[in-house]
Amino acid sequence: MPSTGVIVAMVLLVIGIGTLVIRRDLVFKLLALGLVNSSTILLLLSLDSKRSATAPIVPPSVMENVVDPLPQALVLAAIVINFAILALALVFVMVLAERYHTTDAARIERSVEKETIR
Amino acid sequence: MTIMAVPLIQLAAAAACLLVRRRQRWVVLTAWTAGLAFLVYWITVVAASGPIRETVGNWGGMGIHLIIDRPALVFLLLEQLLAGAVIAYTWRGGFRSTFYALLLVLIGTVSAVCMSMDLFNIYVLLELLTLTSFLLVAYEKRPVQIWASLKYLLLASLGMSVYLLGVALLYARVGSLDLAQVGEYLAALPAAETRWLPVAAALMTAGIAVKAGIFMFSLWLPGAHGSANSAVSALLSGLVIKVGILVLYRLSAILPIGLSLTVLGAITGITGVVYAVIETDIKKMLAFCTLSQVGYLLVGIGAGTRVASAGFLMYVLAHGMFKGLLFLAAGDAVEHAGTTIISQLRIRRREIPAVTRIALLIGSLAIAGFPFLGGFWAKDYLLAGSGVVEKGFLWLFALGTAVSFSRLLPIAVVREHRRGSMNRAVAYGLLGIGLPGVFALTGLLIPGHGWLPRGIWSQAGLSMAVIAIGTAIGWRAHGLRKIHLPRGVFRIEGSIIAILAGFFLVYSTVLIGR
Repeated sequence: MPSTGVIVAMVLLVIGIGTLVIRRDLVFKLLALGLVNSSTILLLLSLDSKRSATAPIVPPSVMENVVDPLPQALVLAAIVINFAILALALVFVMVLAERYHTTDAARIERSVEKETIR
Repeated sequence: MTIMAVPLIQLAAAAACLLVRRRQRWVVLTAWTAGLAFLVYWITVVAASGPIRETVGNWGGMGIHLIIDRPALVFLLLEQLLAGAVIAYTWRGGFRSTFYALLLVLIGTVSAVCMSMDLFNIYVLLELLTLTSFLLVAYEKRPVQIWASLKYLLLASLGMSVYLLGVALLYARVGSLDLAQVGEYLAALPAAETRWLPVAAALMTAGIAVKAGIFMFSLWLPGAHGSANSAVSALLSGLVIKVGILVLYRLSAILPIGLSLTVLGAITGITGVVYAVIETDIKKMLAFCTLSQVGYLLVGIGAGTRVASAGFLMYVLAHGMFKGLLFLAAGDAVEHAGTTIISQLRIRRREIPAVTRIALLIGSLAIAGFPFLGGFWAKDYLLAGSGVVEKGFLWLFALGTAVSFSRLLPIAVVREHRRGSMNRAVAYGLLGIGLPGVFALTGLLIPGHGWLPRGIWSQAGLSMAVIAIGTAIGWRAHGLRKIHLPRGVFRIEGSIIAILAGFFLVYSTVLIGR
C-alpha cells in the first residue's frame, strides 16, 4: 500500500497534466506546470519517508531513525529551479499579454501565425 | 588539474561578459581557446591512459562522479567546433553582451553535461540548458520567438519533471544516483524484484526525449529552431539536442531501452522527413530535418553493436557540423535575399554571396550522404552495424533527406560572384572543411574500429543512386507541396498529448523489449 504522500502526488500530477491540456489560459497553464513540478517533489520526498522517523537535522551522534537526507537536498535544488522557470515564463506571458491583450493560448497562437505570414 | 575547470572557466567568463563594458567577444574567444587547449590535452590523456574520472565532494567515495571518456570527447569536440563557428559568425553582428553571456553559459552547461555521470546532476544541468536556450531563442524579442520559446519552456519543464519522477522511483529502489553504481545494482537484482523498472525507465526516457528532438516529444522544436536567430539555431540544432541524445546513450547502457530507442528512431526519422519534404520555409525545413536526423542517432544507439556505436558517435559529429553549417548559411542567405521561402530564395539567388551558396551546397550534399563527406562515413558505419529492418529504415531516411535537400541545390548554381563577409567565411570553413575528415577525426577518438570499411565503393554507388532518385523526386513532384499535414500537434495542448502518448509507447516497448 503506497503512503499518503505518494497518492497525493499522483492525484496532483493527474490534475496538473489535465489542466495543462484543458485550460487555454496561459496563467492557468503555468499554475498547472507548478502543480506537476510540486507533485514530483512530493513524490521524491514521500517515496522514502518512514512514519516514525524525524527530519535529518541532527548532530551526527544520533544518526538513527532519521529519513534519508539526500532526497531532501535534491528537493531544495528542484524547488529553486522550478521557481526560476515559473518566474521567467511569467515574464514572457506578460510580454505577450501586453502585445496581444489576451492570455489565451489559442488566440495568441493565431495572432502570431498571422503576423509571420505577413 | 580538475576536469571541472572547463565548465567553471566558461561560466566565469559568462559573468565577466556582463561585467566588462566592451569587447565581450574577446572574452568569449579567450574562454573558447582555453576550452580548446583543455580538449586537446584530454584527448592525449584519454588516448594514453583511458577515461579520466573524478569525484566532486569526495566524502569517502561518495559524491558526484564526473568522467571524460571517448563519447564525451566526441561531444566536447563538436561543442568546440560549433562554438568556434558561432563566435566567428557573430564577430561583426553587433550582438549585445547578454548574447555572449548566454552563449558562454550554454557552452559551459553542455561541457558539464558531457562529463556528468550522476542522474540528478544531469537533471539540474538540463534545466539550466532549458533556461539558457529559452532566453537565446527569444534573444531578438520578436513575438514569434517569444511564443516559440515559451512553448519550449513549458514542454521542456514538463519533460524534466517526468524525468525526475523516474529518477525518484529509481532512487527509492536502488538508493544511488550514480550511473555506474545504478547499473551494477540493477544487474545484481533478481528479475522478480524489477517489476517497477519499466515504469522508471519509460519515465526517464520520455522526459529526456522531450529535450532530445524526437518527433512525438519535441514538437516545440520546429517553432523554436525555425524562428530563432540563425547563430542560435545552429547551436540548438547542432549541440543542445545532442546533449539529450548523449544522456539517452548513457541511460541505454544501464536501462533496457534499446528497443524503445529504435522504435522512436524509426518514428522520428520518417515523420520528420515527411514534414521536411513539404515545408516551404528554409529554416523550418532544417528544423524538421533535425527531427528526422535524430532517427539515425537513435537507431545507432538502439542497435547496440560496437560498429553501430562508432557510427552513432560519427553521426553526432557529422550532423552537428553540417546542420550548424546549413543553419548559419541559411541565415546569411535569408539576410541577403530578404525571404525565408525556398522557392523565392532560388529566384533571388544572385543576391546571396558566393561563399554562402557554396556552404549551402556542401551542407546539403553532406546531409544527403554524398560519398566521402561527413554524413556518408557515419551512415556507412550505422548500416554495417544494424540489422535488416533498421537498414531499410536508414535507407528510407536517406531518400527522404535527399528529396528535401534537392530543393536547395539550385541555389548554388549561378555565375555571378557576390563577395561575402570574411568572418562568415571563417565560420563556414571551420565547419565545412572538417566534413570530409569526420572519419579520420572520429578514428582519432575511437581507435580500433578499423580503417576503411569493406565494400566502400559499392556503398558510395548506392548513396549516389539514392541521392539521384531523391533529387529527381524532389524536382519533379510539385504536388508534394500541396499536401496538408496535421499542424495541431504543434500547439501546446497537442504537444502535451503527444508526449503522453509517447510515454505509453515507450512503456510498452520497454515491456516488450525486456
